[in-house]
Amino acid sequence: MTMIDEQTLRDALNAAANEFEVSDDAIARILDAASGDEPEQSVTRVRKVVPESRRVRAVIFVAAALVLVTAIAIPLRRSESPQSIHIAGNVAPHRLSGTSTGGQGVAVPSPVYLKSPSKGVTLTGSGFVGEPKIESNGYVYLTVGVGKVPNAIVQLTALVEKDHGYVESSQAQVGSNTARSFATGVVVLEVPEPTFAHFVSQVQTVGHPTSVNTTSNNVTSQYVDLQSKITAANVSLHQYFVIMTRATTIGGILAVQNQINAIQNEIQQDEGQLKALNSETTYSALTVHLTSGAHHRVSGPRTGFKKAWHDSVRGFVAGFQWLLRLAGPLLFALLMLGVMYVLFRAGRRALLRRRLQ
Amino acid sequence: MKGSTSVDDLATWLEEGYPQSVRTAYLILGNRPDAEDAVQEAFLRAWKFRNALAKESSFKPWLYRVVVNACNSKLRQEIPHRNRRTDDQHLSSVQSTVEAVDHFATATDVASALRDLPDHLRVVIALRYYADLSERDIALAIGRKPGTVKSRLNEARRRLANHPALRDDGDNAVSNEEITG
Repeated sequence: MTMIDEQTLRDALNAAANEFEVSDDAIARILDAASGDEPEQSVTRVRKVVPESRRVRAVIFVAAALVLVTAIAIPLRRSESPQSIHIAGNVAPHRLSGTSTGGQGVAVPSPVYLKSPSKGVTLTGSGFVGEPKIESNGYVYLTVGVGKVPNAIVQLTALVEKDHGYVESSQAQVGSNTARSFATGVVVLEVPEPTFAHFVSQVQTVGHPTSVNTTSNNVTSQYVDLQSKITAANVSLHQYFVIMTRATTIGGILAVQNQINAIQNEIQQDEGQLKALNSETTYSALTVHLTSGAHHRVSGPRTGFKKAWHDSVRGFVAGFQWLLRLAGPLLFALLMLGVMYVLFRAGRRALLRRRLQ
Repeated sequence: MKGSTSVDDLATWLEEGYPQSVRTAYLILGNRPDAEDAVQEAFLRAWKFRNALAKESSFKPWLYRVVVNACNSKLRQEIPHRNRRTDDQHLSSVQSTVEAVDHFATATDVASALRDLPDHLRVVIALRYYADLSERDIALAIGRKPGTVKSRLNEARRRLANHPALRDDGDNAVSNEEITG
């Protein structure tokens, strides 16, 4: 790159700049203008604004640290709060269920409880005492070891009886225990609704769950509607009976009798629906699909080196997840600090410039 | 120089620094009246804020910072409204220095090329090669980093070397070639 010689430049500038004489009058004018001029105190004011003391720098540092910690902590707290789970149908007020996974070997989370399930539904005569009526059902796909479908059915039966439920139906096709043959089974289990979620989690221990789906519907409003209709119909029926006692003509008696029959039919239908609803909310159905796979082996509880290795891998993954979660807030905090630094530099430079002008 | 409080001290400042300051301002601004105005303003401003000098590490860069700021104010506010080229005290009117410069480039050519440089490059050239400030002191004077000063100096020298007024003299004007980068 071609550049002009420094000495040449220096000489030329000296020659150009020294071509005139500096007058002494200018110096005298400056001295006259400056005489009696007190030093400007605004420098102190500027220095108060411009943070140059250790105390102010410490405050700025603490503020920056607070911004950093806040920026990291708030998103992390949000990410650690309970996440909403999609639930099919109406949301049961006392339980969140409806987790669903698919695919072989995927860990299936157990249903999430917000508080203890209700202690059963109390229905006295035609009265409803206020417990929510929850209708729950679901299905679980389990893979068990080769030839272990019958054993799994036995285990499921034991589990359901332990929870005071019953086996509604059971179906199994058991083949020979060769590598190419598979055994399948479908068991429909009915368990008391309050223990349903707990039962679903227990069922998953029988084999390796590949898919879990539970649905809960709050049918309290339907239940209350039916009860109201039955009560109103009974009142109406009673009134028709009173009218019947006062009827004197054949035509009148027949007309009232027709009305009574219609109302009684309506009451019977509603009571039938109420019973069905009561049955559905008292017991929940869980359909368990059993599959015996030659390539799958149900793993027992890990111990020793196996457990240590598993814990180590899980810890590594968890640490990596933590780092990834931290990266977002950290980048945001660094961005904010960068903006603050740029603003601080710009403000400081502007103040210094103003001070010198 | 630090902690000066009396007018006598200002007189000392002026005796030591005024001539060189006004000539530096002349190189930056391109005409003498503006240079004298700017330096007068600069000295009065420096005197007004002389308390700030107590915390500065060096007097010379501090004073030149004030001078450069005053020159920049002039460049921003006043000079665009003037017809600089018709001024008889213009840099390009320097004719008597040709004999004084016993080198390849004439003062007139360099002055003409200097006038065509952007303001920020002209400032660093004047401070470095006339006021004889180091790159670090120039950085303090213009409020930039030394690396920026070095870059601007290189850019200014490159532009001067490529300026037509200096290239017309061919080999005489550009006496040194450096291969950089």
